[in-house]
Amino acid sequence: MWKILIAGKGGSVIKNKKCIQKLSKYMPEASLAIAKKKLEQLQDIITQSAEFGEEIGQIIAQLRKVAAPSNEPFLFTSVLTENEALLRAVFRDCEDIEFRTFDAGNRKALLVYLKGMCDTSNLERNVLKSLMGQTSPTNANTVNALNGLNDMKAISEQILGSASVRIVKKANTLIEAIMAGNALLLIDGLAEGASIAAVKHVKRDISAPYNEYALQGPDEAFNEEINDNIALIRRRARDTNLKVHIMRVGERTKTSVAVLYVANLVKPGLVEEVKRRIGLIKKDKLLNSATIDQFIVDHPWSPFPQTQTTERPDKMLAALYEGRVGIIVDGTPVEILVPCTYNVLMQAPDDYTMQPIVASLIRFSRNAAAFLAIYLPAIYVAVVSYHPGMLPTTMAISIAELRARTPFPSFLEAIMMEILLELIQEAIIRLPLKLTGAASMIGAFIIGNTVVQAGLINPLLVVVIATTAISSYSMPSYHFSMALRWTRVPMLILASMLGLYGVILGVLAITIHLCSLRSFGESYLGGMFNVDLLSDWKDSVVRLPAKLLKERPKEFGAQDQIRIGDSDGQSGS
Amino acid sequence: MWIRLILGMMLLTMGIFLSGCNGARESEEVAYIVAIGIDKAEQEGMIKVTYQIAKPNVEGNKGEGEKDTVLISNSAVTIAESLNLLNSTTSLVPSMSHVKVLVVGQELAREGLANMWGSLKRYREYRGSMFVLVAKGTARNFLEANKPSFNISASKYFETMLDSGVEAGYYLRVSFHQFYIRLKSNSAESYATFVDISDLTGKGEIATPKVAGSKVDGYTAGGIPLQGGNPIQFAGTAIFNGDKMVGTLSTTETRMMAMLLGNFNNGFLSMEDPLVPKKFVNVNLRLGSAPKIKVALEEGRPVIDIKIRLEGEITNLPSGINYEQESYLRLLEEQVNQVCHEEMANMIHHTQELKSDVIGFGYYVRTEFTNYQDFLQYSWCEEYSQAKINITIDTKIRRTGLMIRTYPVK
Repeated sequence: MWKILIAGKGGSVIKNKKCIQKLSKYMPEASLAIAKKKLEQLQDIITQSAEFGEEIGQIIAQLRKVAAPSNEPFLFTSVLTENEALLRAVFRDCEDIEFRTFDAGNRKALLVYLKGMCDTSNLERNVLKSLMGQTSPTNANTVNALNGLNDMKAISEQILGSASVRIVKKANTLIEAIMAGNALLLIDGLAEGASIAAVKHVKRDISAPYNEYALQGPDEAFNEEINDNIALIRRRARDTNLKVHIMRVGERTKTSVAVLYVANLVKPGLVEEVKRRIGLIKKDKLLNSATIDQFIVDHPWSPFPQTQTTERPDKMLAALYEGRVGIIVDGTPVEILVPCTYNVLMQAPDDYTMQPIVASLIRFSRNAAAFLAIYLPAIYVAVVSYHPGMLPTTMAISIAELRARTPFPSFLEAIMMEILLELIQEAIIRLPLKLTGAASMIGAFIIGNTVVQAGLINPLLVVVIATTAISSYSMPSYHFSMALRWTRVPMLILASMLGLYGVILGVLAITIHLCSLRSFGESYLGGMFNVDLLSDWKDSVVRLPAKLLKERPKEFGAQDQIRIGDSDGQSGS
Repeated sequence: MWIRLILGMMLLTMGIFLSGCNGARESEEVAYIVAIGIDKAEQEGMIKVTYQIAKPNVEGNKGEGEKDTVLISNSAVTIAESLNLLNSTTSLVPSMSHVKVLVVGQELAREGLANMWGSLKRYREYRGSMFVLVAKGTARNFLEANKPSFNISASKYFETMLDSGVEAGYYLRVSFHQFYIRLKSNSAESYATFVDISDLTGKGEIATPKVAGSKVDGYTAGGIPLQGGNPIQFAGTAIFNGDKMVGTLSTTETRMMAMLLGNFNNGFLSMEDPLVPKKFVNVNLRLGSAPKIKVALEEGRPVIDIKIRLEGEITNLPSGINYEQESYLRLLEEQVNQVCHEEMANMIHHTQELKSDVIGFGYYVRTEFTNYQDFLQYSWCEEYSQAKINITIDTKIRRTGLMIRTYPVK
């Protein structure tokens, strides 16, 4: 193009001057500056027209709103074509909305639904067929009957075959119903709509829990669908006292959030507090339960989890029957339990399927593991650099032998090892499943052997850090083990600066912090050392046989403390 | 919330900068001293301090026969001074936290240790848990001669050696703290484990029994006939009067002393057969209960009543006489009573001669005084040498070993 132009317009001049010149010299309109200016003008026009379009749309909406109350986009009229136009305006550019016009008797009718969210065969069977069937000549009686019916209620009662039909006059509610996957039926001459529940959308089947595996427990886990999740709870308890309260969170997504509790057990005021805190959430979207978690906890800056998360319905039900409250969020397979204390985080479902005496020992080692996971590297650094006199002589000398081969101070060694460990853990989580094997192999080689052979880190420290990592893996709660990982590094720094004195300072700081944390009024760690709550030890420090666990944990203040031996399970209601 | 955070930060910074906890020292920069030896130096008024320092085995291939420790000696006026000398002559910082034994040369011990104790007890780097040994020769020679025959480090050797000694009762271990407590007490005198080097010829003096009925007499360190193994020997006890060493107790005497101190675990006793004096019997004894000691004053003179219960097990009866039977068993028990009685009386007499109450009868006599000042005026040390001793030993042979009766060899 360029060359042709050059050849066409000023080829001879170029030849004469024997050099290449700018095209704009001969074609002023081809200048880059002018082209840029014109492009900008064009962009302005486009944005302006888009703004105009939006304004016009708003004006139209305002004009239509005239007859509607302030919080409604419009009011249904009894003229179907008008209603349709109003709906089309609301759903403009939503191309997954289906408008299906048909004849019901001698009237026009309209079915509106979202294509991917509605069970069309259900609609065909129960709505279209039963309404359009009225037009066939054999059913002259019903045709007349239909013509005579002047309200939607009668139609839904006599003709529609759907299981759940709701007559709605408010446009807002209807639009929300459509967005949730219901179908809307409008009939000419009626100023109201019927919302027909025929929700069917893609979803995952109930599967085994991904992260909270139990050796001998039920293998069903929550999935993303809130109704399925509630059903998983309901199926396990035929109890009318188990209440479900559904709220909507998120100004735009309007996500369903269900608050579950057992009415005659839960501590008075707890449910109201949970509802209040959820109600206060101001957010445009709600994509997972962790967001709810961060909005409702008392101390958002603490590294420790203050709500318990679970993907096991059995765990949630057990918690509900201890007087706690469950929060199920639509679209998340990980649900929330409050209040949450150190004790409940240390309980695993397997504790209840094992022999009590074995489970008690495991509980004990789990608590010891929590301690090691925070303090072991710090104690190592403190003892090796400040107090070698505490070690047996042979060990002190052999540590000196090991340390003589590595160039860095103990603290740097420990930090290097921590970083390495964190990197490997992070890599294994982020990598595709097929590569994690390779990553863990490389990690094992590095930690197990090469780091030592390379003279970077002494083998004893590898043992210490590996023990720490294994300890933090043994926590039943992932969030809690992350908190342990978080606190480890400040502890290391304290130990390297102040020795055992620093470790003790850190122990004090962490213990005080844990005791002062409150989760919905319950002390996080304090309950363990509260003399009044000593009887809770039978299911916290140890785990007694089920026969002896006659009372619910006092900590959560259940209205009815007796777990076994209520006459009818209804006491207090 | 913010106030808490700020307060926490302030506390932390103050903790870091005001605590003075900045003594971090990486373990490879520290010289772990395993043993300290103190001798009289050649120069007048000075002491020669020997440090045995663990040598970390860095390269991982130690030559055959190479020692895992180094011995460094220097002469100084005080121990503290000597430590500074050591610090300036070695590249590593000496650490006293792993000192296992403190060896004192006999010559120095006999002259008195009062000047030494101050810095050892007062300076916090020295541990009260180190054990006190008195070497017959010099401490330096003793530490040099120490060649553990089993593949263990010097520190481990001292630990196990002093642990296992308690089993037989031939020597007692005494920590520096215990030693010091007795040093400053006027109710008891200090003692220390006595050690020496054997010539390894296996030809030591054969100890002849001094006590009727007994088959063997005690040894002191260096005297046990020994062939092979580690040349250094732990045997007997060095006893002190005040801060000066005044004598030694043999192994049998040490064992009697252990009985009186209540830490005699068990030990074999070889005696003449009560019915066939040419043959011997052998029993394994242990304390049946804690010794019961009462000290009374009769006209100002102390009378010490000692009641010891022993329990035994027959370990050898070459004569073939059925001592397992009730009637004969009494004879055997009587023999044990008689031998032990005599040995104990000898031992106490020995300490009385040396005016050294190592057993600590002084603790029992205190009840005779109404107040402590009276006791201080009594000068127990002098009176002890005049004390009258009554010993009752009651032996019960409980078991006959794994044989219920003896059959003569045919």
